[in-house]
Amino acid sequence: MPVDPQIMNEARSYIGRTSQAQGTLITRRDIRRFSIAVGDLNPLWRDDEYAKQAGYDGVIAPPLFYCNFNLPDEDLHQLEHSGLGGNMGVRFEVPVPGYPGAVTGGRTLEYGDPIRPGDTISSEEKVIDVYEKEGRSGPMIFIISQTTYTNQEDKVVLVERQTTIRTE
Amino acid sequence: MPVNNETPYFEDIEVGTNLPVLEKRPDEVQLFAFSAATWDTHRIHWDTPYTKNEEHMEDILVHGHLQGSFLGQVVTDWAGPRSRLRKLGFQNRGMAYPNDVLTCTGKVTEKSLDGNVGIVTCELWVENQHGGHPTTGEAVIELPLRDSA
Repeated sequence: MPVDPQIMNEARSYIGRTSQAQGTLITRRDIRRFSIAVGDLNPLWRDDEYAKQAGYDGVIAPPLFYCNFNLPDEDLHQLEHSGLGGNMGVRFEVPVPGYPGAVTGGRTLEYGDPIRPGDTISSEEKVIDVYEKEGRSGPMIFIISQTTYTNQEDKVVLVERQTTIRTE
Repeated sequence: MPVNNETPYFEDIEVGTNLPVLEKRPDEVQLFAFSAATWDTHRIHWDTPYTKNEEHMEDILVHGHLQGSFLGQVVTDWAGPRSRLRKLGFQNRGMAYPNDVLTCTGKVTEKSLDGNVGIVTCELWVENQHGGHPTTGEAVIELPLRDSA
């Protein structure tokens, strides 16, 4: 059974909408703590001399480091009971009444310049596409968004494309 | 698994080459540390009574992004310091729980030349102790050519 055309039209009207996140200063400590949490002690993220021999200015961030670091820091009382915050990017602002379920279908990351300690990273997320699909347990609304992360020199460090699947 | 301090040459890699295996057994401490490092306040990664009783899940969950990070580590450990990662993708398909045994690995599926660098495409996956694959992925990596050293 297809999604109500009025819901699809309203959702598709969000294609092109964006949300921005202000610059976040990346520190050596952020990178170190992230890599320790993953259990990834590669000296590229920890040892400046090793990283210089590999052709970098010094240590760089591992490829999945960007996770969540451009989300706004809300007050704790603004969080839901689940601990989730309200502002999770424009892809969650696409109106889909009756489709409260949300699952991340997948992400693709394309890499540009490396992320280094002392960089300030800003991001902009844009809704790229919205379409419906029939699933085993009912209709699903797919929301495709793309987030571009840039550093203080306006160089792209990462382009992330993600699929969010909204279900009944 | 030790980090590969040498980057393999493109010419030495074949389609079908298996990437080394990285075994992870994320426990509650690791899940907490990852939530802290990424400022992820979601209870499903640390609050066991909430997750079981209110979300009706078997146990707290290993973050999808942490599993993606494991796959990233499989690639960077293998490809070494002179490689450059062009693309990484991952899909969280099922749940992973603390103290699962997660075998993270991949294999080379394609190779091609792009000017004076070699490009290698790999399929990646996380396999749990039941043979399930909670997370799958793929990567595109630049490797140096032996001749251009």
